[in-house]
Amino acid sequence: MIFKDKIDRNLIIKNKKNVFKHVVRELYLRNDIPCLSECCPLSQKCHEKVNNISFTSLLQSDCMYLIPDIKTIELYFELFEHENLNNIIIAQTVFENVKQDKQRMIRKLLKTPLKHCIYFNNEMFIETYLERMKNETREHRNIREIINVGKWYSNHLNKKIPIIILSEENLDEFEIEDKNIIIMNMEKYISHFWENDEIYTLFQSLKEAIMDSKLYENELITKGICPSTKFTEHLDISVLEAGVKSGRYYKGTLYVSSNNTENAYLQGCNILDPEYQMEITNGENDILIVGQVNRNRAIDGDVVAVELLPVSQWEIKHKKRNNNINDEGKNIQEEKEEEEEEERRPTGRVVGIFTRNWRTYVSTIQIPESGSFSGSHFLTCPLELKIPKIRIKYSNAERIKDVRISVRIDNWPIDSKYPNGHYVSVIGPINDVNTEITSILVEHGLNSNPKFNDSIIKSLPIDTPENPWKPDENEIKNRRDLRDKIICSIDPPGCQDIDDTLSIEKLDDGMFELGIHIADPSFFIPEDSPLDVEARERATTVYLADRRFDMLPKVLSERVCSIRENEDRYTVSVIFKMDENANILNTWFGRTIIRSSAELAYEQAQKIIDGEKNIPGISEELRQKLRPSLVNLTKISRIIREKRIAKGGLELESLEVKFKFSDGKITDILQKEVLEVHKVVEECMILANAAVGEQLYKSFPNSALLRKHPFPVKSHFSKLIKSAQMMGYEVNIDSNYQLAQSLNEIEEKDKVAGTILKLLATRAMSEATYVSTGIDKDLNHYGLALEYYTHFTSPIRRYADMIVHRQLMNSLMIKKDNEDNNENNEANKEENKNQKLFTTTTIDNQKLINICENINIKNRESKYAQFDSTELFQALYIEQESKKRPVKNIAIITEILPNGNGFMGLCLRFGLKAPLYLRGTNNELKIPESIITKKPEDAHNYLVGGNLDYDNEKIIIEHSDLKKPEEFSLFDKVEVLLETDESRSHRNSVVMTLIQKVNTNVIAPQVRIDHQELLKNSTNQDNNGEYITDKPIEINKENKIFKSKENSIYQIIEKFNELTINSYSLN
Amino acid sequence: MSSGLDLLSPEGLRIDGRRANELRRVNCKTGILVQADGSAYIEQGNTKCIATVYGPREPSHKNLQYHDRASINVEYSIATFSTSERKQRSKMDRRFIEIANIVKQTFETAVITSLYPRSQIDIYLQILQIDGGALHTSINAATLALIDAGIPMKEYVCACSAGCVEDTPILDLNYFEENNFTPTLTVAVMPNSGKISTLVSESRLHLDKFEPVFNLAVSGCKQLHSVFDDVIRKSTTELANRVMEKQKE
Repeated sequence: MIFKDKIDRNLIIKNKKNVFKHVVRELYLRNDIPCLSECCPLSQKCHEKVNNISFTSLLQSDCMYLIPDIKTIELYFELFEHENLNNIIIAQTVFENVKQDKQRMIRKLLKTPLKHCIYFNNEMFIETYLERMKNETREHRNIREIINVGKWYSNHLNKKIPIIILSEENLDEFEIEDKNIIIMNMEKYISHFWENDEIYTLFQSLKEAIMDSKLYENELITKGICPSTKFTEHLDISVLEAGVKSGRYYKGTLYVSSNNTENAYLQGCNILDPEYQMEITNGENDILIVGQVNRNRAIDGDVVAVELLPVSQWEIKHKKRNNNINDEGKNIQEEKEEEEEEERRPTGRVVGIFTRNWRTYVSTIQIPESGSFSGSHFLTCPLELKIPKIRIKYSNAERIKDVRISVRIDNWPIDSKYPNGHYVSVIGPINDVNTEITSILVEHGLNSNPKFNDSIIKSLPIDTPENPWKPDENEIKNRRDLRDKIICSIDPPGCQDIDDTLSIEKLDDGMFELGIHIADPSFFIPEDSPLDVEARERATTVYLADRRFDMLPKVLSERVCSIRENEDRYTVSVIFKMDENANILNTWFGRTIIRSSAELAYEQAQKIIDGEKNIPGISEELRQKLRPSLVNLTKISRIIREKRIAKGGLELESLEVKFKFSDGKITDILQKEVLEVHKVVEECMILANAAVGEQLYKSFPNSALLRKHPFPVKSHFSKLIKSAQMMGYEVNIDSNYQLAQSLNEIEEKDKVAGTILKLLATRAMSEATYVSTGIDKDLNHYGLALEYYTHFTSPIRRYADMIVHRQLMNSLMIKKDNEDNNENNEANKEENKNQKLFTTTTIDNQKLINICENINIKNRESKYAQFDSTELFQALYIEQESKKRPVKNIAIITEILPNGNGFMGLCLRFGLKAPLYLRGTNNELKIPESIITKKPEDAHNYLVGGNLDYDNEKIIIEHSDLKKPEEFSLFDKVEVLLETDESRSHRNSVVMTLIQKVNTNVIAPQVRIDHQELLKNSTNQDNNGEYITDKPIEINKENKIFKSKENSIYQIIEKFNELTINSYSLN
Repeated sequence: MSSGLDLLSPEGLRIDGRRANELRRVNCKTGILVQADGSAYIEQGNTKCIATVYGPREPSHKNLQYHDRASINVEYSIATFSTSERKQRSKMDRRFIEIANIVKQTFETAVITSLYPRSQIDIYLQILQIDGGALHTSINAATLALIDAGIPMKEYVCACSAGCVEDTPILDLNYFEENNFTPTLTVAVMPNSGKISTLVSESRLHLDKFEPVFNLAVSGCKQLHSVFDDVIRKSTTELANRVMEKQKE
């Protein structure tokens, strides 16, 4: 056996639970460790005896061998990497006692043949192994060991080659008789042998850096800062609370900026600090927190306490230099003065954390630098850029290399650069559509499992083709029978979950009876039943670009509750009696039973109203039956709408797009088109919602579920006002009426500008939320200009509407009770008592408040999920298309980026907004050649030289090859190249690259585009294309009300389409 | 302290100084417990095992006997002081019963049981210290004890474990290597005929890597066989000498 001896090493190891374990490990001492020197005196050199192992380099003859010790490697490793130092013996003792990143660097060094650096396993070699003596420290023993290595080498090589031991310690106690061995510290060595070489200067600078860092480290430790990561300890909650009360700390939620993840904000703090003697009312009451150190281990969403830094350390606001070429050059004097008056924004650092708001994050494992997965701890990169990388422990990392996983964070110790977490589950392969969609749902905390569990399925009514559901005779008696009325529903084509229908009837006395009949799922779902609880948890149907996740099972949502044509269905109705000027004389609420005459699609309904004959899918008989109702509905709703607009109702724009699929592939991205019939339906729904809202408020002033839209924060309008100013317009934001007026005026003059300003106004809106009137008395709805508003008309896909239905039934019960009381009708009272009791949400306000919170959160998250899915499919579409040919299109410049980095472009055709950069990451200019050559192929070739000037309104590019400077102003049109930016850890995103400017001298053709024309082109192009049913536009999301005038955003986009399809002249 | 110990360094050395294909030091002795029919003590590295054999003898339960062969009964237990933390373990622990069954199956084929119908052979295995490889050490100990007891066997049964670290097969894993998610394979062979008595693996091992690992384990078994052979011959020679001396008297 090659082992001469076996030793048992006794170690005491502290494991993760802070338990000490006594561990015994064997150590076999070998006698075949090679010296790896070319001048090995043995007949068969050491390294030749060891087969199967090849050594990259051997120590040379005719030189000195260096043996560094542990501290030398830690401090001066860079010097060893220098070309001058060769023939280095790295002892195993030294290797095992340095940090892992040094180990990696040493390994690299060992692989370089020219360095002649070798690794010597002295701990396993019987001739060099030394036992620790009694009461000897580990460090002392290590030093002895290294000296022993030196001695061995000297003897082995018969003192032919001088050995130098490089140590920073004082080794005088070890008397070494061998004259061949010299002990030096690094300074002596370098100054002795390489005095005039560059390595000497390198050494000097290293030494100084070390001195500084040593002092610095000590300083840090005394301050309570961890030297390696620079984080400070979090203060105790009691200290934080006291600090907040005294005004020293500010409490708030941390938001990480999406553009620049180095910056984070604490929003909405009223900073009025007497110490700083300034009132900060710049409209941005945010405290900026720059950098990871100042963020002190807080994660986006945590509630933290922030302390302001001294004013001198506050960040300077980005000054947009005003370098107008037309003006005379400013005096240098003037510029300096400007600098001194620079505005600084409040900057702070996190001192403690109140609550952590960690959730499940979707993440991807990072492939280590070495390429192979060794060890058990790995870094994972979360999908969301705002979250830092998370370290998890996982045994077989190879298996999760190409999948997205979900992880949760456990803790973030002060000495760790990244938080620690654990693996939860695998989601699916990277960049697979289903995986990405599930990731979107997980990221937003939405339910990704569309199925309902068995106990729920059992409780559902049966409705099969063989055994269709029929209403119960007894129940029909309890309802007002409207089955003889002409009632129809109008929804997107292919819609299965029909929850709203309309009817209108002209009465004998010239009055109209407008009826809105809504599906009645609350009848089938008893309160607090398993299905009710599940629906409450889901809170809403989630609509993504290509699929939806229902709140209620399909039996209810598409069959029994859904108002299908020619079937008897239970409904809850609101019936208005009004005159021909839409003045409401009487409102009736109640449970009804109806029979819908037709399930119309928007386009079909519009055609009927327009008087067309031969409409596909509608028989002539049906058309004639429905036409009068539809026409009356249109007339009445126009009047109602005008009244509402006159009070200040807003009509704004949004960039919603629809994806057209065929065979699982995306064939097109289309804008959502608006017909008048959309508005009709919408207006009726708003009317019904408002009426129910008022009814609920009157019945239950302290526990009604209403929907409010608060007045927007003034500071949010700043972008809108600035953009308008730049275009030369004034926007009045004093009230919703004023805003609507000014926007409409602008639109009359310039449609494009009007559209863009309306988009900006949409961004400035605050969020509409559900509230219980018990705690919130401010119930105004800004966007719709209504005093009381709620959601009543879509109970199949919104849980709030179910509660509203229940509350409405309660309010009717009270009404009936009061009537009965007045009539002293005892019998009825008894009956009422036997009926369903009051819904708990009416009695238990706290429960209602909790439900509202959940619904608001889920709504918000599903909205974001929808945006994310739209982005996902946009990127997929662009990726798909750019494989066939480069995708070019027109974009409008909507914003100039700070520092002249480029501008934001809005491509209306695809509903995409993306930055176009003109500078690289190191601030170098990256101006595409294509602005000169006009060729899209040159969009990625950058000009050499050139000059870029910018201000708030434009960027001016000068170049020797340009005849005259090219100006890119706000709201200019540019031609861009659309590509996908592929990423492993994050979703693929769409990137726009500038091709060239489109000359605005070309006037877009003033085409009055016909509805039919549009439909022909967009809907019937590809008969295989399936529309995925999406929510009807009447959703009343306040920001998505389309213009009632003819030229909608859709038409503007069509104009752009014309621009791209037809030829346009440039220059 | 050393951070991130490599199971196999680029120089080809493991954390205890062995190369990939080297066995730990083996130390074994037979006939240590006089009261048993056969006994053996084996040390492989720091894993220590005592095996005692009783039999063939009257079966303890009537229903345990076979009419045409001997039944083999194995009991396996780990001493409470065998690991770095003292831990009480019950004999009825499922893991132990599983290991005992594996050992039993191994020897049912190796021992010529047809010679002793309606009787029972008991093998008791006691692990005194665990440092990786308890199973193969137990099998080896049992082999030696059976030979010491004079129970006829077709051949020796030698067992060894092997694993795989980043494509390199390593032989005879110790505790640290076993616990680091290294795929482990325990093989028991009858060296002369090359027949495999037992093959145990409780971890995932890629099919491509299986063959080299397996071959390495078998070669380890063969090395052990020569060691055991030596030891048995020595002790038998001693026994023979003593008998001869007695006879002379």
